Amino acid sequence: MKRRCRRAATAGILVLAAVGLVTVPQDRSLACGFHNDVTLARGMLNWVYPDALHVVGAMAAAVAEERLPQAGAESGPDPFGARYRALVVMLDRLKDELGAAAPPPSAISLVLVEPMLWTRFQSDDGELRAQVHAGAPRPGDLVVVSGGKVVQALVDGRFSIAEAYRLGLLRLYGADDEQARFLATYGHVGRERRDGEAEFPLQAVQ
Amino acid sequence: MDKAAFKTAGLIGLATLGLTLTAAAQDAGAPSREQIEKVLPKPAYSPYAGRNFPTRPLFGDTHLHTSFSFDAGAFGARLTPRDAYRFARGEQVTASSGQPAKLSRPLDFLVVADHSDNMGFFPDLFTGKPSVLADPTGRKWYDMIQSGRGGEAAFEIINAFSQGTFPKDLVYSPGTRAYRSAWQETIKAAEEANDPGRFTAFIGYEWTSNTGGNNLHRNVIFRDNGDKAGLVEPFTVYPPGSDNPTELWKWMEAYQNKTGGSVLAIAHNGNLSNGLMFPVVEAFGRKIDREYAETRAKWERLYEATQTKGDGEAHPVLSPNDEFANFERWDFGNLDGSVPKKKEMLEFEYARSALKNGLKLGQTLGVNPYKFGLIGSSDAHTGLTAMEEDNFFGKTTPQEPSPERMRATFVNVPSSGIRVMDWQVSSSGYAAVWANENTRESIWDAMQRRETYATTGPRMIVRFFGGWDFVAQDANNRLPAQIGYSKGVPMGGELRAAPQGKAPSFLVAALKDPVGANLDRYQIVKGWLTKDGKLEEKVYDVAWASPERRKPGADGKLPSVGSSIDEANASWTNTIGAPELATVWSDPDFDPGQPAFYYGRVIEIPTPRWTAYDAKRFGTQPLPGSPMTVTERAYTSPIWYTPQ
Repeated sequence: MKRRCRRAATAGILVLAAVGLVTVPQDRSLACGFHNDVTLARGMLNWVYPDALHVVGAMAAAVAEERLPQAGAESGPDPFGARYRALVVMLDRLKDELGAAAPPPSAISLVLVEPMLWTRFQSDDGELRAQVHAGAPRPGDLVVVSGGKVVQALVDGRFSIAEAYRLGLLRLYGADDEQARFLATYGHVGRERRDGEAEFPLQAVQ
Repeated sequence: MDKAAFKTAGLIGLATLGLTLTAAAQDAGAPSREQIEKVLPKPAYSPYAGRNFPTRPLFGDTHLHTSFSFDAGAFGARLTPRDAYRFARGEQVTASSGQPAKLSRPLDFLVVADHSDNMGFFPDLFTGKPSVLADPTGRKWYDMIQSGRGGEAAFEIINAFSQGTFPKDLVYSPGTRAYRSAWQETIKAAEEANDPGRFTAFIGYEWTSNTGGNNLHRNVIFRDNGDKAGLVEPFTVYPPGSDNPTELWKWMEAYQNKTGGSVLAIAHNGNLSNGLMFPVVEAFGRKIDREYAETRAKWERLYEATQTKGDGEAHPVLSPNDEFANFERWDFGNLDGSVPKKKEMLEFEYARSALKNGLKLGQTLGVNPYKFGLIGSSDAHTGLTAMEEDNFFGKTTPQEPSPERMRATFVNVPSSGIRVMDWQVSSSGYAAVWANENTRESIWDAMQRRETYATTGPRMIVRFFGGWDFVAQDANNRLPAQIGYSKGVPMGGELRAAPQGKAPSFLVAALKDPVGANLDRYQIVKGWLTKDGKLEEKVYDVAWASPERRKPGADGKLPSVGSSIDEANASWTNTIGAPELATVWSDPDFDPGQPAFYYGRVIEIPTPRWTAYDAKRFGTQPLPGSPMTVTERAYTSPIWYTPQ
């Protein structure tokens, strides 16, 4: 039996190699793009959270429409970790903005699809804490799929979580009522509501 | 009936059969055109009445993967074979990255060729197929996904494969209920999409021999419907299959014997085989002998000369005098990047050198194993056969349009030093087939007789006829094919028995893609075997745009057609080049004692490459060395000359 399993594994690797990639993550963090090849982890995301990678298409459209900044030299290797540190700072700002709104009813696991970086936001004694480079989301977490550029735009006040959700730049996975609560609580995060502007309409996600 | 009357009746019969007459016209002692015209009835008013040769090429893809392929699924492809056929038929679909996708024009046919090993695993796991849930581990993974622990499930699945602990009952291999179900699903998708006369959905798969990381894949295409194809299960590499192509050919033979059906195999672009695709001495420990040659020639009558992983027609090291040989080159190493390429490998993995070596093997073994026609196909792993430069959906899901793909890494193997960037992926290719009807049978038959050509994406219309009696004015006729078929053989054909004092002549014609770029030139590539056993090649420019302005120099080279590209705006104009090219060319260097092949190569004027469109759309700064222009092209199947 063991032999057959080995053969199966060989076949699996063999077929993965068919498009030239056999690297797999070796730790339970499912890898992130700053430290591992994340192609498979990102690919699996599209199955585990159905159509999660639609965020990629939405981001591409947003760049083309100049809602998000054009691609520059920020992609590619990050040998000195400068981009990673900048991302940590950005996620910390997001934590502050979420925390200022309300403590989340349940933990939130955010994955940024470009680097496949997971961050877990959890309330601890009434204070929101962010664990950057977290492992896989835990059962019951609300999973938020988005991109680094999107979060940067949020913390820069260029658009709100509700707008990002409407544009497909941010996708939610979890129970329907949790998703609705998330949007109701945090929909405005990223952009101050203007006078007279309604809160994010809940029916949009029901 | 006396002898003369019998001959006359025979001629009329042959003439009414058109194609049959073609073959007859090549035999020594064949009737002259004048003789034939004397016995033929006056043509009808309609010049097309009674015509029975293919009148337009059908364009398609013989090599497309969907989420049913293990690797495509692992990379995030979610489109199914049904989605793939819908897209190829011209419908709009949503790509796995969420972007709307639609072809500029429908294709005429498609082969969904998913990897036979582990076919269908991913969709089944994530939809919770009973066959998956029956296994405790399958059940566990499914439950993890459903309970929000999908990330952990993903980790376990990937590690199970990499560490050899994958549950045996979840292995999708022939003989298991799960595998059979996946294969039947594949067949069903093709049967539903197949619409004879309008769109052909072939049943097929890719056999994925990859031992040592060397790509020897073959795409297997059934001529038959599901009633026959469903009687077997695809041949795999892992047990009960084999990584040896000769075993695949045995499987093909067994299929035909069992079902009375027909099947062919198309060898994958060999540029990642590290010198193993076209062996001349031995393969898998066995000497290349007459039996090998016969068997390969029987089952593999086509070759994939261009695709997303580069172009495989010619290599500049092998063809240093060919200024167009350095095209979308992928000569880093083998498929998994474990072994870098060495110069001496190249000869055994490019189409032109294989065609040349085939001449020599044909002489020594009595059979030429490499008498193949040419097609292009995508090998995309997205379910999207989108190989247009301004509409390129990449090779894998991570390469679907995004601001990042021009700068991202595709393959990185530190141990060998091989690194391939996404920008090196080629938006290529399609297969063009001169078939009488858009049906499985007609297209398959045309493939079998090699009446095909490869394109790198554009749908230019290319004719290539060889014979002994073409004259210059034949190229002025608006019905070149009528003349081509009546006086010669089409691409993929053979010429024998050179009439005394005559050299082969070729009637060539090319029309630009109706929505594409003008043409630069039509070339004929000749390869031949000299009397002292040397293999030679030469590229002839035979028709080109603006001949009044562009004259060959002292070195025989034609001046460049120039460029009308506005790279910043990813646009071009048809202010240079020609919409059509036609001529009759006779080989000035012909030696009737030397076996040879000839094929056509049609070069478009330069146009923006997909990278230029991406740079414009996303504002991405290309990495140094990224090509921003492309000279699209077509390669016809050869016509061989064999001395008697």
